[in-house]
Amino acid sequence: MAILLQLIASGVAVGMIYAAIAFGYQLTFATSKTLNFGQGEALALGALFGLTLVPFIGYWLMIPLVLVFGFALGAVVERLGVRPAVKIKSEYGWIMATIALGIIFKNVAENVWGRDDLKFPSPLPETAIQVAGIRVLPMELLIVAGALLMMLAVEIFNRKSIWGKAVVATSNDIDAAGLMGINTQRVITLSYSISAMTAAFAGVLVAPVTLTGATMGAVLALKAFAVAIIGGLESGLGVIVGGLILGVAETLTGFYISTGYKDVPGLILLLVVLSLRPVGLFGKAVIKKV
Amino acid sequence: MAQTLAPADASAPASAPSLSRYAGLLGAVLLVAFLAAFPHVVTSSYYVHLVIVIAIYAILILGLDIVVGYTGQVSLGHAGLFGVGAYAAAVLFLHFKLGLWWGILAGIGVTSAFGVLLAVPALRVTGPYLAMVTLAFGTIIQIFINELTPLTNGPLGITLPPARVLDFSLLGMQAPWGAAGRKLEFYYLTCAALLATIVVVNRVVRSPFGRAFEALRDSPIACDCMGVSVYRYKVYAFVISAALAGLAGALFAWSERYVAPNSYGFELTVLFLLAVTMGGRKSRAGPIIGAAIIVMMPNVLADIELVRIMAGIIAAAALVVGAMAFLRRRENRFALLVPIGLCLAFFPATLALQSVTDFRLTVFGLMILFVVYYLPDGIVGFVREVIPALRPAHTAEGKSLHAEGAALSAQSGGAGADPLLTVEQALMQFGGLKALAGVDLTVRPGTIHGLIGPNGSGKSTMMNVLTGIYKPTAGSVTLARAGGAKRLDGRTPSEIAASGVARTFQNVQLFREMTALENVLVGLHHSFRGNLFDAILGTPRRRREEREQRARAMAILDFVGLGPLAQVEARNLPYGKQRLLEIGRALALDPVLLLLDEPAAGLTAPDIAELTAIIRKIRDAGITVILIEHHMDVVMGLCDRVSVLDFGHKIAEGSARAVQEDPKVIEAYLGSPVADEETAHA
Repeated sequence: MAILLQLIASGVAVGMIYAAIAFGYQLTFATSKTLNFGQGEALALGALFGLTLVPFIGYWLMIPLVLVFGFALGAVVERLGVRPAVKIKSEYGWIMATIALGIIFKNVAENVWGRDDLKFPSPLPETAIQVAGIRVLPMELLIVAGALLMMLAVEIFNRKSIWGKAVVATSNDIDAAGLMGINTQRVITLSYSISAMTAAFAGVLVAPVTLTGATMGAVLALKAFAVAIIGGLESGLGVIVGGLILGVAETLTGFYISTGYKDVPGLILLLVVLSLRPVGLFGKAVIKKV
Repeated sequence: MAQTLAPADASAPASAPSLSRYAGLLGAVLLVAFLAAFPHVVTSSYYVHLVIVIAIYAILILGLDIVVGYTGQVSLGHAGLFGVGAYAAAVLFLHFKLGLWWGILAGIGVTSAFGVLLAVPALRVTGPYLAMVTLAFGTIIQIFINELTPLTNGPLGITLPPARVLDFSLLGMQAPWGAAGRKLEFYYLTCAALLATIVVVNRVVRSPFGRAFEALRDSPIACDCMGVSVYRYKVYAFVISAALAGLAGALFAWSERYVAPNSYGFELTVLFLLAVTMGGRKSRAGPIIGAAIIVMMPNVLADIELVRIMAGIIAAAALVVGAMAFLRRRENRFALLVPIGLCLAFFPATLALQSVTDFRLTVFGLMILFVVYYLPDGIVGFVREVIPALRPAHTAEGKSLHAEGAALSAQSGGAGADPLLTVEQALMQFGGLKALAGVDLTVRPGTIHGLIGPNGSGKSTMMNVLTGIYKPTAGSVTLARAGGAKRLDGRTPSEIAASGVARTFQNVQLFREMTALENVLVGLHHSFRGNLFDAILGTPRRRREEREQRARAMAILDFVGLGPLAQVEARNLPYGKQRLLEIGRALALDPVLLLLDEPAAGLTAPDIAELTAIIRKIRDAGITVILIEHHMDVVMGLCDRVSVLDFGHKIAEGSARAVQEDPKVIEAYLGSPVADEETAHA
């Protein structure tokens, strides 16, 4: 039982990372019905950029700079990869373009930071602390708190600020929002920026407990998509539930079967959910009109 | 040909199809000659091997084109399928010492099975969802290859001996072409496989299967309503595509003689997609060109001098294009600044770098962006744009394009007393809204039955319930057929279409990228008896059917007055003609009941006159018609009987005249006089 609880506790931390990335998918999907297939690379670049800054200004001061970096990165992706494709109404176009940008980012990162995985210095002590008989790394607590705080901040921004309200309006009905004088184009850019910012932040959160490198994001992003699907691409905080389910399922698989199969449950879950219920577990079915 | 009716670029002169037919033949001859002569001209085994790899990739990409080009789905799982094929062949050798031929069989068989597996989630989702599903599929394959060490030898991979293509020792003789020739056996085997693939893909895409693939891409809903099950044909597309990926994989394993899990990752999948897009979708030449590009690119990039020269040429070309655009004040000159700037910057970048090999992926990424935005139809598409004679001859098969045979098969029954269609207490509920609140409807055979009502009254919902797009919450729909009554509610749209109910759509749902003739041929899908093997082998039965159905389709087009526009792509037809084409396509189903959803919406007066004449002719042929329409003169002039819906209830029914004078109907359309007075006083 203690082992099980221990595994669940470690699963929660990684699950929150998935939730944060999946949350980013939801943001852009809500405003523009598109998503960034290079989300994993945004995460990796955020982590690597943070790694470069840490020796100079330390972990905590680095975070705001990484947020700005992610914000700018998202805008670039939207301008180069998504906007032109949406303009010509090409679904294939934005899928391929965001994949292409992801590949370019990864390749550039490999050339700048090297192909080997790097160690990210942990800002918190790396000795586990005992909480109710379970050993928890302080960093894991930071991950959970950080991811929750990030999502909370974005939610508050959406609900309270005028720009956030524009995001919500655009998500509900892009045409009506446009007719009400909202610059929906800029709102979509904003949603991409916030999305990539979330991913970059997730990168510096997860980096101290994993290894840092150009390829660290690819599988994370794919599994986060599984989480977004489980939560439903349209449903607000279903991703936290989805993230927790997946994170725990993974640590259990890793312990009881083999770490080699750690990624499998998430991917299988993705296939099964989409085969049975394409709108996700928490999503609402759409009535098609003819 | 009625050139006046067709848009200028869409009406190809009569000679063009034959020319482009020869172009295809010429291309094939050149390809065969090239492949046959290559190893004798260039004897370096390195280049021979390069051609083998190109041919193998081309096989896979031709298959990928079926999924990407024809059914319009993004698959990121094809590297995984390729890996399955390669491992099927390699594992067979590792454990059972079975050679190349068994490997090819296993590669095709096992990968086809995986194609079915992949098609299951793919049935339900499209677009980004499908991309992620296929990506997850590919990743899972890679994980399993890595982890199932007893079966696959894990990360170490499997090494294979040189392939033995033909075993002459069994016959007790020496190879007639000597040791040097033996080395080329595998080369020629691969070439033969490529040529066979081209033939198979060519035949499949020109068969009813290929038309079904394109139809489900352009409008899945109309595809289902034409009796062509979207589900079933997506599975076919994935399986054919997977089988070719398996063939390519098995050949690849034996050509490289080494398989390892990491060779079949995400990067390769993206390369395949780049190849199919860059070469040009929906063509045979495109995938081959694309395969050549992605195979040769790393070699080109390894040679820094060559890269610099090419970058210089690209920069110069970009400079010229940009200068021209600005001198001629082209509209898009500012939009061109970014790509031109990138092309120019590329040249100094190559001068500064010692090696671009490390930036291989960046170059591929930039190529993808370039292709997606500036060359969406690929190289082949671009060439076709420039040289119209090279455009595909849609209807090259079956030269007899004149109409013969009856357009409509006469429906028995005529104006009988028993109703053809009976709807009892149809209830359709969306959440709290009752779009249909228990509606009864009886339609007598051989009549035109009008269905009218204000906006939001439930007419289109009724249409969707009748054709199976919505499942009614309660109530029944029964169609009287020769063999007895048949319940329609709860059946899928394609089953309902197969029982003889055809429809058109309020917002036109044509197969846009197919010609008018092909659109009707999709409607005739039900009358093809041939299976996939008929299509692949090109059997006499298949040819005869194709000939007959093309003549029939032509007759139908003549019937709706579109004969001269048979070769025009549906998206290039004028709006009024598109509406008529939808009717023609529906008639191809040989329906007993035809549902027309606002056929006159947006039409000009002469078009409406033509339309009403056609609807009358349809009724005279014995086909019962249900007509939803807002043009009251059309309704009053055509309908034998009219039902009026309002807020999901039937408020009146009877002859057109009686309904017109019904106070309830007047109230539904114009509001009640009492209520008006009240608001006036308020």
